[in-house]
Amino acid sequence: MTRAWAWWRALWAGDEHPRVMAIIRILVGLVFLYDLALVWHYHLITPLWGPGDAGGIGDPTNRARVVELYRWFGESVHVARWAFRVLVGAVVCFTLGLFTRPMALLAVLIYAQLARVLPDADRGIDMLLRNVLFIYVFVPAGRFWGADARLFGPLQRIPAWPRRLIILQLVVVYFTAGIQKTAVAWWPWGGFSALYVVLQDTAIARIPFSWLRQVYPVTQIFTAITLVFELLACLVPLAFWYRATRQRAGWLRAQFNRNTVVTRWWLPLGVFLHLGIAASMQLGIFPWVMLALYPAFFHPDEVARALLRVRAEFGG
Amino acid sequence: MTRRRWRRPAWDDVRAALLLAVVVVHGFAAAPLARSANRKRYDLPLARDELGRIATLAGRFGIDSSADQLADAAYKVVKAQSGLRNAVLAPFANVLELTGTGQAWGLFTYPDRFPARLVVEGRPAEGEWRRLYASLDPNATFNRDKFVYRRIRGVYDGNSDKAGRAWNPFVSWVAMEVFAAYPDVDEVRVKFRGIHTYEPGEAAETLVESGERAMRVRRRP
Repeated sequence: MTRAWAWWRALWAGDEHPRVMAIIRILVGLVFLYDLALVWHYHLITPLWGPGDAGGIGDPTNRARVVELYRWFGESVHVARWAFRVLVGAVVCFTLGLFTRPMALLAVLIYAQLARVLPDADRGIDMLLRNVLFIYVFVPAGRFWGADARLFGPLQRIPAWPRRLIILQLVVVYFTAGIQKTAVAWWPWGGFSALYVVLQDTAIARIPFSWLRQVYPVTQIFTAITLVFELLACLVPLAFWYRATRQRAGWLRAQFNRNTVVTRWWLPLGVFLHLGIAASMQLGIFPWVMLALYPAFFHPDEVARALLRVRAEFGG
Repeated sequence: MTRRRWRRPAWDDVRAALLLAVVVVHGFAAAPLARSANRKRYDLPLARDELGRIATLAGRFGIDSSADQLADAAYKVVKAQSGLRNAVLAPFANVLELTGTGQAWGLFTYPDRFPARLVVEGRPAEGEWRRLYASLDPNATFNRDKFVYRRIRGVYDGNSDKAGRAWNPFVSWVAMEVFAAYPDVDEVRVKFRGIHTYEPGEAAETLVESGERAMRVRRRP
């Protein structure tokens, strides 16, 4: 027990340079802002989050339990508009790294309220956004490449656990999505027809995909690849563990470290699949939020080396 | 008897304990357990299709079962699962609700061979119905960008099998959008056209539209 606890404690201990968490903060913030800009551009604040008598689809004030937003501030369309403005302001500050932690908390709380106003409009990716923002409540990520660095002084070290928790979150997203794919269409006995069927759904497909009949085997291959990719996510923590303990013996450890399984194979496949989703399906920011979180898979020192290489290549 | 002295836990221990609690609660929330059980959902075309396929598959291994028997068995398991899930997560429900955090990651778990196409039509007082919008119809693209926007799609997608709570307000919103854009339109109707997706080898066509669901009509106020 003591040994297991020591292992668990060590897993979340330690610190590292804040650049990766800063990169994720900026990327996630920009994607989130893009999505909120669409809400504003399409004039959807009232339909999505307004009260029923103002045209709100969720009709949030006619429920057994009215959300706190409307209970505390009144049942008015102005409340929805102000909530949206404050949310946008909080996400802008978060992205700029200005009062990052309180702004992350504010964004989480308001976004959670809006999610409850019209739950149908709140997708899994919104929950993932809130999960990630909530992690940022506990990490001073704005003190590197952020306004907080100017206000409170820059930091060269932050706790390492938030980045590791984001890795775990991504692994859980992929792996649980994989093991839940129990429909026969995902498996050989269902003819690996899943991707073909999904792409025929007119509400999801970006363009008509009836021509895929001509290349049906290709869709079957990609169905299998998608499933394998998601199921293999369970090996990612093992790969990181092997990397952190590379000095120890063991054939499997050596293989994982020799082939850098995650960064050389699994992650590029993930990038490819998400770009494929973005090109073929209308799932909004889903693929972009997922990709914005991918830097978490890299240690800040790896990112620093990559940035140096890029600078040497392009900056002279 | 020696008494062990209480040791102030180091920050590493406190952090590890808090993260253990978070990982356990969220890990349980992420477990593929059903959130709710509804026997009627097993009668939807998607479920009947899936159960029929499983029954056929089981038959190949000498297990005789009908889609109804499988539905009854699945319902019992799902009911027990959802009860367990809700009971375990109940103490944390308020925090999860307040923060809007949680774990639910089923992406295309059951590819739907019986999806639906959103159709919006309008007509003048005494005129013919005209198709203004239909998903992926190049000749009916009114408000296309709005209707395919993920949050709006989420609203109507959930009503394609059975009109839910948000369907009527959604239709009213769509009607107001149409009335604002088309001064000549006095009546709007919104509905779903059922679609059956065929895999190659099953039928000559890929998509066959059939039947209408959840039709609602709104008149200009």
